Amino acid sequence: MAADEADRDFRRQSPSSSPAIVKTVWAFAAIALTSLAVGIASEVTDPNLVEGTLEWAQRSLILIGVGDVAITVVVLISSALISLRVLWPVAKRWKTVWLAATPLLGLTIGLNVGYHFVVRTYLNIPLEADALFAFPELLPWYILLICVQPAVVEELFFRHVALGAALEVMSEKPAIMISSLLFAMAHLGSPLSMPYLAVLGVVLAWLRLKSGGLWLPIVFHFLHNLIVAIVL
Amino acid sequence: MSENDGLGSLAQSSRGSTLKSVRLTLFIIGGLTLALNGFLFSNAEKEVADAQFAPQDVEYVLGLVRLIYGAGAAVGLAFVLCAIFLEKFPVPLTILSLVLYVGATAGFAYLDPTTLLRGVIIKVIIVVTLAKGVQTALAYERDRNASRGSF
Repeated sequence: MAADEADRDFRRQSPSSSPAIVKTVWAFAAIALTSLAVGIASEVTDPNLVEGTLEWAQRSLILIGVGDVAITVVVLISSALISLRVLWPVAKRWKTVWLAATPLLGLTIGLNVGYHFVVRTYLNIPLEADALFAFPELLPWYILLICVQPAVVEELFFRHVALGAALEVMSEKPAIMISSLLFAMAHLGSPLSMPYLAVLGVVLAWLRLKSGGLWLPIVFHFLHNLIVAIVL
Repeated sequence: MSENDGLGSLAQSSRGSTLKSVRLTLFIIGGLTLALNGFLFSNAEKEVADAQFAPQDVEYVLGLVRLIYGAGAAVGLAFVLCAIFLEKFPVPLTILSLVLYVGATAGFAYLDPTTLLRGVIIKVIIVVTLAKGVQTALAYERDRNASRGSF
């Protein structure tokens, strides 16, 4: 009898719907499945296309574009469905944080180059220039799909939805860790870069919390992707 | 002690037993993942030799195979560590376990999409157990904090 009442009490106290953090993990799974589907689609190659030609570059960009649109749709739907009740910490020295972001960007790029150099050396992978960059007429599309879209959409999901949902139920440090892990694991197409991406996620989450908004992480992410695309 | 306090502690002990089943699940997943990937890692050289790659590719393939099995073993170790410290930090670690499991499943599916369908029922049961574990951990910690505050 008492056990039945305790069970009812337990059910009454349990949230009727999933907490935001669990919904965030479902949204992450949807993003991962979308990436997986796009990855499988891109494996289907046209035998008439020769790598390095303009047609090949156009087809590659179309595939990247389709993936970006699909992920943007999933992120926008998830963001609308996950209602956050987080109290974001107040940014006290946001101007200093914006200034500190410049050397931090240099350090992050340096870490990226160093990390990939070590991995490439270990695996004996030669460094090759991105063949997509060979066509200046496609450059605006390249920048839009590789630099602008990830900066905006990934920051919206990982530094607003995921970080916010995690902050609802835990303190700053573990919340940053969880959102960074999600960010790294969402890059299924570059598994070798995941450890570095987890570190980048920590930097972006820190910037989001200390600057008090999403603008700084968006600008940082955009510049990071642009420089990496040019340098690596 | 009022009747409500008694019922509250019963509910809390019920949550405690749910967390114990999550902990056991994590030990099993972690132990199996660690053991399997550890064995495959130690056997990588033989596996690559048996596959008969071109001599110039052997070193690259071996490095890649070791990296994949090493990452798998690291994920297994992370599950075991989550299980060990689950009682101390129930909320962050149940969430971390769920994130790791979903992420690792997606990662392995990217390498080989057929793995997504292998043991799909067990995968769904594990995900549901971990998701329930997150909700239970949230309620457990809320009650634990409330009872600390009332003293």
